[in-house]
Amino acid sequence: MATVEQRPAHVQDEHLAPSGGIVLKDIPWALYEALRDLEENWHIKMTYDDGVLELMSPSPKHESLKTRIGRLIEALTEELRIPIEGFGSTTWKRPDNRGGLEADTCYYIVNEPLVRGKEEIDQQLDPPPDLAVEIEVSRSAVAKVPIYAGLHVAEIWRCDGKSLRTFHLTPGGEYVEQELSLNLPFLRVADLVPFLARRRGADSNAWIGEFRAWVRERFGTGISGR
Amino acid sequence: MATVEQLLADERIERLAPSEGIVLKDVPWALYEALRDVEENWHIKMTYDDGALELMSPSNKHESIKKRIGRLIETMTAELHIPVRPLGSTTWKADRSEKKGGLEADECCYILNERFVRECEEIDLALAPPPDLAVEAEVSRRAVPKEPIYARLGVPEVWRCDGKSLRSFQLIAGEYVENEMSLNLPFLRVADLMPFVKWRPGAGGSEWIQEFQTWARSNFADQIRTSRSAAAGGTPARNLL
Repeated sequence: MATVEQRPAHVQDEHLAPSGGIVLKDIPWALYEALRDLEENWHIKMTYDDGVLELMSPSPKHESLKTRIGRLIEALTEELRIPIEGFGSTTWKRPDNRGGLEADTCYYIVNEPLVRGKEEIDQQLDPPPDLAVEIEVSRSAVAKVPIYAGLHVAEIWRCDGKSLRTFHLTPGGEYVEQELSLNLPFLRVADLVPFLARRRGADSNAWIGEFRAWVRERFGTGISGR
Repeated sequence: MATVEQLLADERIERLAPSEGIVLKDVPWALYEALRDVEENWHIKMTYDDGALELMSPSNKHESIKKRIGRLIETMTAELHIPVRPLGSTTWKADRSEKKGGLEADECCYILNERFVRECEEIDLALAPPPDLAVEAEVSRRAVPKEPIYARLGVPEVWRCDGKSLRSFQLIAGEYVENEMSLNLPFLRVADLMPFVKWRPGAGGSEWIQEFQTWARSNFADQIRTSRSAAAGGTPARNLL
């Protein structure tokens, strides 16, 4: 059905630049948590998988792309009156203490009613976010996809600035690429790519205005059934 | 003679690449020690100063400069019969005062004080003097400066090499002051080593070190004679300031 080139989500892209991050091994869970709990270091991304800990300080390019995708998701769902809750770079931890990470940004969409208005997520009781976004302008040493699988995050978007791909979690615990979003099933995710870069000369308001116009034209002003 | 502060204002330092590590803040000493103790991560350089912790994974360029300088020191001291105890990238901790610090040099050794650690397998800074000479290969900017930690450790001499120049700094009244001549090898104008540190394409491995041996022998023949006669006299060879 999908014509997009299917690549399993766990394949790391070798052509990406090394992350400039630091990878530590044999790190006990408690040590990861102690590091993560240091509030001063909230801006350092920490990805933990079974003893391996990657620390990363995202580049400006990374942050800029992340902000743009966040704005697109928010503008799209606003135009179509789809309620969402964003939880940015909250740290998510697997209950078995074997994995922890921060998404570049993440949202509740399908499960939004379950967390509506919450300022904090209780990771024991609340569901995981529905959609995690990963900006991939440099290579990560520690693969995040298996950690997401352990967290049961239903959908991951991976963006390298030139492409935007969506992966859905199967019942078997693997991520498979699809053309359409899971949380926003009317959306062919690749259609957002032209909006990742701003048209030359357009300021950010013109840019998001053009995007909203595209959304209205494409999808109308509301999705029936919600 | 330039002080470290003057050097920080120096253009030359600014041109270094931005730091290629991660800096964490507000890190308790115990957490730094716990991280440092994980043996698997011995190759990650960790510089700790009063809560700031820089983690660095050294680049190839960094490693090759460091190794070359290490070889030059070893070769020179061997040629001139100067006892030396090289200690590579041992972790040194200044943990006896409030402001704790810890670091690894790129290379370090005992030269002037070698005899005080000759019998020790492990070196306890509560009993032994700090290393005499630390070498820093600096191809990228450091977020957590190492000089203040070296000063608290009392390391008498630090060499800094950015790939273009090699400079020696001596600890005077708690600060590092640049000097042309080495403290531990007082006959040596440290910058004279730089041509041997620079990588030359096509230079075979052993040719380079042989060239250096020849250069050392011809320039410092006096040193060999002094060292040999001191050794023959039964006293450890020492360089007198």
